[in-house]
Amino acid sequence: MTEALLRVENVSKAFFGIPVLQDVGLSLRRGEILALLGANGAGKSTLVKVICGAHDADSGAIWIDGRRQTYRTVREAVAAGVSVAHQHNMTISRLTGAQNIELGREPTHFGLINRRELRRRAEALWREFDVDIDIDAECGDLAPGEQKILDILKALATNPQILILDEPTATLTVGESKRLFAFLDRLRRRDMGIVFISHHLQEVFDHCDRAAVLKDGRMVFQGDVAGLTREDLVRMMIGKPVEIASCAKASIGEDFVVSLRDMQVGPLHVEAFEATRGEVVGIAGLIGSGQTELLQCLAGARRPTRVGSASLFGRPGLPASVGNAVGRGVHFIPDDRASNAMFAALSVEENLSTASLGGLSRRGFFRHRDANSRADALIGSLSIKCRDRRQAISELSGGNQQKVSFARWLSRPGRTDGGRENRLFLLDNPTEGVDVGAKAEFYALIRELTAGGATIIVASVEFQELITLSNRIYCIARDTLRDHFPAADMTEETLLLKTN
Amino acid sequence: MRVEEIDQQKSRSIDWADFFSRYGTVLAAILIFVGFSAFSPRFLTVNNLTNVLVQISSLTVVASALTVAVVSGEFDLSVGEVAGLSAILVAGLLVWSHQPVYLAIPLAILSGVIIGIVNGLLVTWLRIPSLIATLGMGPVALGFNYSYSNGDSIYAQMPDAFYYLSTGRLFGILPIPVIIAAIIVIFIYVLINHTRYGRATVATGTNIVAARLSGINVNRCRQIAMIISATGAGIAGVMLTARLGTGQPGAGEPYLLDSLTAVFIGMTAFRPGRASVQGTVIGVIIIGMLDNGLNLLGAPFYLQNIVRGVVMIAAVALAVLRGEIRFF
Repeated sequence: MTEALLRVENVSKAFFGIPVLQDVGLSLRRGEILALLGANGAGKSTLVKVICGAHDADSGAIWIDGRRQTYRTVREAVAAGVSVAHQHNMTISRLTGAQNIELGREPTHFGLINRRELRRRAEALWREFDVDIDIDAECGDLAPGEQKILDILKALATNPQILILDEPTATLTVGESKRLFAFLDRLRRRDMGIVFISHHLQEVFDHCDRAAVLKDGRMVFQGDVAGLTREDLVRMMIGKPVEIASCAKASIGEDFVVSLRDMQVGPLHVEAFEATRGEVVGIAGLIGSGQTELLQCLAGARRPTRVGSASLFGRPGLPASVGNAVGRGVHFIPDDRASNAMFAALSVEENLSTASLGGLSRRGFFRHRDANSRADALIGSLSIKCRDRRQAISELSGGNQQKVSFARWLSRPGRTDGGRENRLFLLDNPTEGVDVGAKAEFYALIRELTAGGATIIVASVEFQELITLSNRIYCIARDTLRDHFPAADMTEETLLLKTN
Repeated sequence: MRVEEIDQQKSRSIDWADFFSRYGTVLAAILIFVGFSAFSPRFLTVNNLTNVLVQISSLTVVASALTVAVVSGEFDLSVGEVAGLSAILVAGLLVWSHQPVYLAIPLAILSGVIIGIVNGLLVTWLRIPSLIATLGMGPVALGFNYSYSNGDSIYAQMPDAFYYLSTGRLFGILPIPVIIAAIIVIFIYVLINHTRYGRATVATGTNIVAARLSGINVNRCRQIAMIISATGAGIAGVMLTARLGTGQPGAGEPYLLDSLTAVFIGMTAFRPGRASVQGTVIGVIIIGMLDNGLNLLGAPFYLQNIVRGVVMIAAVALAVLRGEIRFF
């Protein structure tokens, strides 16, 4: 048994008297990828911040290579060999790969940037880690997966022994993730220790050596991945078995809710797209292949460049505005909720009410009582975890924020057509940054909606999710959306092939 | 038992922090009030305090209306010049064109409405950031002002009915300008907090993309907010001329800095990080007391300028320190 590269010993940390980490221990060896797992709010981020020097632990110790560490800042932690690539992309789109890597430590010559030296340093890094990304391309022109690798390269430029990756694959497609893992494999062979945080359990089984599971601030498991099952991990994370049953129904109605022919939006050409009542239709495609834009067109948030024929609920034409779409029963739950679906400074109630201001008002006056009772009802029926409806939504966990952005469409006060059979929900990457437990609740909710006759179109980069949820899956390949397949016949691999 | 005691202590300390972050600005206003009362014997008199209230009433109108624009996520840097234009227009219409009061006042205010419409169209149609659009429209309004007045003040007796706007007293007690300001504050409070439009505007100002995707007509919200803001400035201009008794082309200028300062001070009160009309009123009162108190204490005239600038920066610093807002 070799000495652990990183050893975290009995670390505890509390915020405002609320314990977030309690007696957490963790050890990381050289040349391994350790999966750090846990539901949202289990304490993963806090643990990472303690390890990388951003937070001081209240008690406990951190050892690197057998030496006890006393660092208190991120800079000191970097000097001790710890480097973190954060969840969100930190690359600057107008700079090239090389410029991004050297950002903040550019070599200078009499105060001016020495471009040749900068390029030379970056090239050395490129060669060292065997990277095949265009070093001179502006980052905005690179694929998300390539930007992620750049992010990691930036973390590697400080020559760390310990690399922490916070949900690196959250926004990547399966293909891009594979490329990232090939890169991580090369790092592992260089005897680096990697801590890997992810919500994708399959990645843990495919690429990680050991797993550590946090639950409610305590380390509940640490051991080899081999011999574990998906169910074991979920049970440890959630504390109870979570059943994710398939939502797909066998029979499909005949009446079309959506029908598109020959539509062009951005680079994407939609030859034919249909959805029938009570159906869940999946759209599979690599990130940025136009699925978001397609959903926006249906939601009235964007006009297509060209449209052959379109009809929604039997009425021709696409909605002219979001308000118009809402009136026709079309509800859009966009991706990236922080910028597209959430009012961070506002309360849960205010967030829930924004989409139904008309129904909650009489003669232009907003009825607080109606809004409050509706908010309470929605919080209860979706079991949104919050102190009360007045709590700021930014204080909620990701899963609960997503529930709010879904819930605001669920009841439509002031409308007589209360039934769900004339409603269409458009979901764009609905479970991004949502933990396993909340995911299962989402799937159950979707099933309930379709059972009531609602129609759902879901675009996701998680192909497993599409397979679980959908009746049929449309695949976007070479900028064209045409073919659809029964979800039951699909696997992640076949979808990957069909979208490339 | 012990655990409960600890919990109680903890909750009490958190409550205090929360209390200060909400009401710290109100406490500051009270401190200023107590301070001036202690140091100047003339401050705490009915006469002086009434005077302060009358003096700040037109600023209250500008700042409350500007609050609506800020709530919608926009700025209006043209309020000073708009007030100046309406101030000179109402004087000219009464004195030069011999228009009756009931026509002169609405026509002057209409100039504010029109500039508000243009501001709104620039922001929503041409997608010019409101900061730039209104920064440009300000000088345009000033240009109209000079072309109408030739840059001269309008000295002449105006109808008594017009002066009633500044010197009149309801029931012989309540000054008319204070009543006008109060009505407008209440109107805007109800508009922001109790109407569908208010909710939609708050949402637009918080996250315009999410608001649009929620089916809110964000451009209409912003258009209306810009109109309200400029209209408030127009009303204040009329009140200003009534108080000064003369039409002065440059009279509206100080309103820009003062009203922005009031809104920023307001953003540090009640619900930190959010503009609110009740907060703005606290801001106006603080500014009014500082002006008046420093005068009474015989402070040199330039000190007032310095204090104004410092108060504005301090208010923004406090608002930003709370971490919830990003300006510009």
